[in-house]
Amino acid sequence: MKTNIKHFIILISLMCISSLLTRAQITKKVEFIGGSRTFITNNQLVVKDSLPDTTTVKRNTGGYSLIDLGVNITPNKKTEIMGMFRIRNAYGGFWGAGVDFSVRQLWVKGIIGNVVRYQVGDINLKQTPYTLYNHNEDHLLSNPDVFSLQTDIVDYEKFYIKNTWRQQGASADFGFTFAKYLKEITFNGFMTRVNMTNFFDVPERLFGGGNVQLIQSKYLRMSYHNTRLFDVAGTVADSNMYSNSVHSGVIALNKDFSRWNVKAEAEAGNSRAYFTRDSLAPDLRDYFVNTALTLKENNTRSFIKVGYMNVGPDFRSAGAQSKRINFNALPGYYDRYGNDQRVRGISLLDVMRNENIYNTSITSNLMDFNPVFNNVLPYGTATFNRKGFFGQLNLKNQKEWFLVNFENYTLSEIRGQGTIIRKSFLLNKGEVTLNLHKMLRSDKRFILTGGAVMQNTQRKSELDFEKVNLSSMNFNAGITYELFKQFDLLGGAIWLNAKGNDYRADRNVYSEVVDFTEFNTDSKQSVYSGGLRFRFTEKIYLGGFYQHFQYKDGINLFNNYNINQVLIIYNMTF
Amino acid sequence: MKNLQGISIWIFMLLLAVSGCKRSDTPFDGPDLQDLNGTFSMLEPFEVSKSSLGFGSGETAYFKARFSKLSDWTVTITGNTSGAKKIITGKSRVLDATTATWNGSTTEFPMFEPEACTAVLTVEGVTDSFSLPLSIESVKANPGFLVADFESGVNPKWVIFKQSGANMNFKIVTDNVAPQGNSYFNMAGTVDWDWLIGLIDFPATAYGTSTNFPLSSNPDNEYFNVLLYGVPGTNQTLVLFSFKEDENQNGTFEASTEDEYNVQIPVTWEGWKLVSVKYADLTYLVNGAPGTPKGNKLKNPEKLTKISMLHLADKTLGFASSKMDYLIFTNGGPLEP
Amino acid sequence: MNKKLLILLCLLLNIGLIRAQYVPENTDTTHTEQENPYNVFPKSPLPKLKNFSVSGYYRFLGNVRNLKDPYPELQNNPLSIFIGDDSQIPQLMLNLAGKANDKTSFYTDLFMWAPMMGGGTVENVKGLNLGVSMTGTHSTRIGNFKVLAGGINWYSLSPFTFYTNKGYNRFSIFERNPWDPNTKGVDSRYADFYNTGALNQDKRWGQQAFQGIILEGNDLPKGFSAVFMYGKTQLNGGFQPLPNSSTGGRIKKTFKDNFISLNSFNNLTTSDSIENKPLGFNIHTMEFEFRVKKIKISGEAGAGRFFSESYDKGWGESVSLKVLTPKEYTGIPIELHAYQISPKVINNSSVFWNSAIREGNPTAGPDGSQLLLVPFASSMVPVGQLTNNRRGIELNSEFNVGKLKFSVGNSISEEIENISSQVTYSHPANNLTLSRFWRWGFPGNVGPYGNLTKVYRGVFETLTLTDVDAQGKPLNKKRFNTMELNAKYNNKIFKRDFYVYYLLTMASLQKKLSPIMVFTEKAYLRTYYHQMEFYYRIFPNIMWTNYVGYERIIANYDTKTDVVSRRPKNQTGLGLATGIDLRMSKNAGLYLRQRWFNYKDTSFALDHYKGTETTVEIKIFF
Repeated sequence: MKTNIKHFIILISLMCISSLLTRAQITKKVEFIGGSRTFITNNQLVVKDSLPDTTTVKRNTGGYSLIDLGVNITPNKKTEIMGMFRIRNAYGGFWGAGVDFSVRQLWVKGIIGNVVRYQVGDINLKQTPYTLYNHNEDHLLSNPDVFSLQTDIVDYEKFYIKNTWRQQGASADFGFTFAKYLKEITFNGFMTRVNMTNFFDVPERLFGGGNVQLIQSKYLRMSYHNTRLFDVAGTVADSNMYSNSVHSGVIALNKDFSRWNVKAEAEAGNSRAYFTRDSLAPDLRDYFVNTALTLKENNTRSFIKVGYMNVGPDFRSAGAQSKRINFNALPGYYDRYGNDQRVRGISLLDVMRNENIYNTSITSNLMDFNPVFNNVLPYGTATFNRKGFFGQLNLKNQKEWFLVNFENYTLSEIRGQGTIIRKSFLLNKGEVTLNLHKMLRSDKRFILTGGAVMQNTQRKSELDFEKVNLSSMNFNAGITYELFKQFDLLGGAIWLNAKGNDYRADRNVYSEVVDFTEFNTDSKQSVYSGGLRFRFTEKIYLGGFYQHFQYKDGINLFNNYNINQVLIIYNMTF
Repeated sequence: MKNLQGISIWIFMLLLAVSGCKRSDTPFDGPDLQDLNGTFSMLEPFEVSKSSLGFGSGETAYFKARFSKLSDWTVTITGNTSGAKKIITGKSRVLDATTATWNGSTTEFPMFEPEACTAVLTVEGVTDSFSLPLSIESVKANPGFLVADFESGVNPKWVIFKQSGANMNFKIVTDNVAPQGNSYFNMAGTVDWDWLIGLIDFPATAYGTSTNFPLSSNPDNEYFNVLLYGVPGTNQTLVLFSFKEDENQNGTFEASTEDEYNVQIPVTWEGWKLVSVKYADLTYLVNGAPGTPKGNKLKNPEKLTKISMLHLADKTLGFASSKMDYLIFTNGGPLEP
Repeated sequence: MNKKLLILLCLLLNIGLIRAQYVPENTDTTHTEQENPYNVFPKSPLPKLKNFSVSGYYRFLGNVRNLKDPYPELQNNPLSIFIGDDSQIPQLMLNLAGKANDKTSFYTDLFMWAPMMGGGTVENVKGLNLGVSMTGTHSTRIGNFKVLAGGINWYSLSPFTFYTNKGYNRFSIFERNPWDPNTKGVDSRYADFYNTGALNQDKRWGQQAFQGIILEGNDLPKGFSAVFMYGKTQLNGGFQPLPNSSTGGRIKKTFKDNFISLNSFNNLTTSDSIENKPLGFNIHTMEFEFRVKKIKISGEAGAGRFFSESYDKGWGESVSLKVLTPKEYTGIPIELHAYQISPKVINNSSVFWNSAIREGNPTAGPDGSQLLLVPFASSMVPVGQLTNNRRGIELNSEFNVGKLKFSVGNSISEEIENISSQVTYSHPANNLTLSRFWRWGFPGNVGPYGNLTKVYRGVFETLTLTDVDAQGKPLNKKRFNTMELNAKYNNKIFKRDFYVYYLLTMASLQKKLSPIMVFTEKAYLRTYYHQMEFYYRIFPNIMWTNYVGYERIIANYDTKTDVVSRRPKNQTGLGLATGIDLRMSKNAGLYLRQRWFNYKDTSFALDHYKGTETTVEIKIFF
């Protein structure tokens, strides 16, 4: 309540300041940024229990309307201040009930003496995939339009912008350009706060780092990156502090040969994670290498890429291994079902559209993952204990009639899990987009998309208890057809089937494996969705959709359930 | 092109630098799956290092066995005559001197006596058990200062007071319930006007001419031990021990100017149980609540002059009963019976 | 040392130029993402709103009431000082609106209220009044489309489906409504009421609050237009996840100045957690308006029903027909209105009140929705106000005699079924003052005899009939008559305008139909309300306002009598008030009101009150 009032007062103050500035200005000094959304949902749960489920509330309605109003103040041409408030009104709240005020983002940025560019406050940061990177490893396939509308809302809510992590802190960068030999060198440093101390037993935890990037020419780029998650000694009585640092070097070579472009990239580095005074804590040190060679056809931008990766079993990088999805979270609706009110786990439907399960913070603990979604690279390419080859083939037509993408990862463990026998991993992914309207030279969109991901995890052994064989298949298909101008018919389906067994590592607070839990699955999940969308602009649309989700558990049939949803979305983001 | 060559060298150098890094040589992460999920078998039989045991002379024995996987195991040694039990547990692939050594101590009373015993090995999740015979030639000696084991009757310098309630039994009893030796002190009765059922004072002078018990001056090293027996189905008793110090060494305890420390033990269990209290952990109690000692407020075990045992019970709840045996001071740690 | 190294490095690298990457937007736009895929994102400036506006008003309202003869329940605090308005209208209202482009916009309203109770900032209140709304429009060659999302949005369909009663503008304008605007001139409010017969009303006039989504298609081919709405009315708000929603719509065909439309409004909720017990209502109607020569014929006819686990009596009719003849035909314009609304029809979001079905809404609650409307029983209603379980005829007319303007109406109605033995009526002479006896909320069964119920800016009283059968069911259907006369006069005194308004409302409730109200003891209840107002512009920016209200309410012996006096209700109320409207500056006004009030029921010994009330209002628009 207090926070709410504080947010409200800040909001009003900013509004007043901005109105004064607006009045005083001759050139534009205050501008408004924002978005708005109305989201209404009507859900129905169908439970296939042994007896008719008379315990769970099966239907629910919900939703909200919200405005994100950003006041963008430019007091001078070198400074920019941004404060964005959220006013959220829960669906069903009349006359001011169910209203929540919050500050969505607040930052200032500018240039010091024409030399150093800085930003303080909320910052979206990204480095390399092994240092600071927000992998999207549980969404291996691009979604058809009818689903991407929903995932886009999650991305917006959680500030997932181009694999960045939203942090709070400060960043500064500057650079030099040169006349000869080198094109430029840029330097960047940042420091963000992961959590503040509770003045008792939780120390202040910061995440900092930086990079030096050397661009020699369009042919060569090199960079050094460093990140470090660390506790600040002296902020609590306990002097046992955590630290996780990663150092990485990147080299990229680029050369055109006629219509072909060859690019060689390599990233390598190491990490260390330790507690300063905990004798039980391990001092984890390891390294990684990732190299790739890409051959690109310049006209169509089609390319083929092959590479090798080797990420050590003790490689720890909080900035790159924090996951978007908290698989231990409750979905937030239909949390329990059936007469015995069993917990409903995170499903394909939740992964697709439920922002409640998504995480925005960097964490030192390895977050749990669900092998059904991604068992090959559960922490993206920064997944530790993996080595092997990967490849990608990306084909495009110059007129953009089609786009075909195929990827393969053939990997294995570097260190066994509970045995010296190592698991092998295979991931094959294929996606096709057909822009039929371009083929037919029509102004009306007619796009068909499809994709499939096949994953397999195997450990062969003469001993039954060591054998692992887990397979999952993820397909999707979608259609976007423009019935009338700006008025689209959307449809799509996603299937996710998994079968087999694996052992899941139970880790202690130091991320050491202390036990294994057997994981057996025979599950089939599917989402079917269809509806209509009217596009005011590409990012402003009104849509109505019906969605049907099925969860089938081949091991325990009474876990089966369906969810039907009607969604109305009026989205206004810019 | 020249540049590219140079860069290639850089790349190689980088990769070499990285591949030069060392990794931990841990064979695999986590516990062995064999331990978690493999089948159990005895790779080496269950044996004991010595079957005839003279614990009285400081002898010990250890058990031996080897399993095919990490297992939770239990060795239970039972006295064939006394029924005393010693239970040793562990989680390992191997039983050896480090994991399964027996020095003659007891887990479940009574204490062992010179007798034939049977040791049984059980493994969690395994239905079969493995047993072997042993014999105790002499029982384990317990070093320390024995206050009372009631084997030779009442010391005439002890002061015993009992109320005149109904069904009073406040005396030494000799029968096979005794956890040590053949006798113990039985305390029972119904006193509906007072919490006190009976008391015994054990003055230091009962054990020689000194007015102090022969204890060290370090309260962190001195432990008071007693075996107490809770009688099922009776009013819960409180056994209160008072430790009275003669600080001015004039031969008497003066309650108004010298320290007294207490431990109050609610007998909430059934059967015999060892209760051990470090002298440093004693507190001064006033009607059960902590108070301020009247003397120098320092714990001086070397000046302990009298121990009082009070047998208490809620007067409104009827018949109360418990038993007591083997009051002993040990040095350096609690009694290992 | 470091400096030397740097110089050396510079020389070695032959640096020709050193500069920072200055970027006017303070954003790294000099590199594409391919060139610099690291560090701070986004790498392009944020898109801005096309337009953003802030408007609103400040309204201070102070109220001091001194009861010299209070109700027993108010004896401990006869003097009340209150800052603010318990009509949920705040002191400061900010209307915020943003436009993403020409076709899409959003708006919301923030309010602030400082109750000035001495607690400082802790007690201050803030929030949203109407919530967050979004609009979008799109024009195509087949029509213009509009979407309204979120809410509250104010909207209407047809009178029987989604609407509020506008009445015939026969009311007192002495007390200011919270939403009344500052007018251009200090006398505009009174001049407009004289000249046009109406006041400037805000956008909610005649409309209902709706939250959800509304889709409109206008100017469709062949004169068609259509509306679809899905969401919640204020009667089925709240945050329980149980389904509770309203769906409505309209398809309208326009022929020049005439139209015909099909309308529907439906509510469905569940009264238990596993959705076995549906509860709700449906109403489907056809509305039309035609002109035959200069005669305007309009109306609405349809069917509706209420359903719940315990109530399902099927469908009932709702019919309303109005014929308006111009003065060319009848000397004065006359509107004849006939209607019949079955007791099986219910829709609290329409023009008619519910007096037949005791319905409840299990998912609504005070946290998110307006409190349940208490079933009104049968009501003594003004002309033009409909209720279900009623059929009737109304005659209305407006005409002038020189500078004297008249608006008259006569209503005859009867119940279709004799369901309830209770009837409700109001106390207009001091209605707003009486409603302020109970601050906050809308309590029922208050007053010394527990027969008063507070509603929004008003109070109604419940009267119980005693000629009932053993089950308490009335022996007779109730018949109602209401006669209204509103006279307005304008002239000048000392070259300055003055306005005199007189409003007479007389009504009766009896066993038999009567063409005019029954003035005798045969009526269960007779009400006579006289309200006289006088407004004089004493200075260019000051208006002197005056009010006299007198009410007489007389019941007969077939109604519940007092246990002591053994006599039925015999109530007299008097309200005398004066005040000024002061135009302080453009868009800023000060309004003072002083009222003396006195009320007594000579049959019910506890039912009396007397006192004064002073109100100060400052209203500034921006």
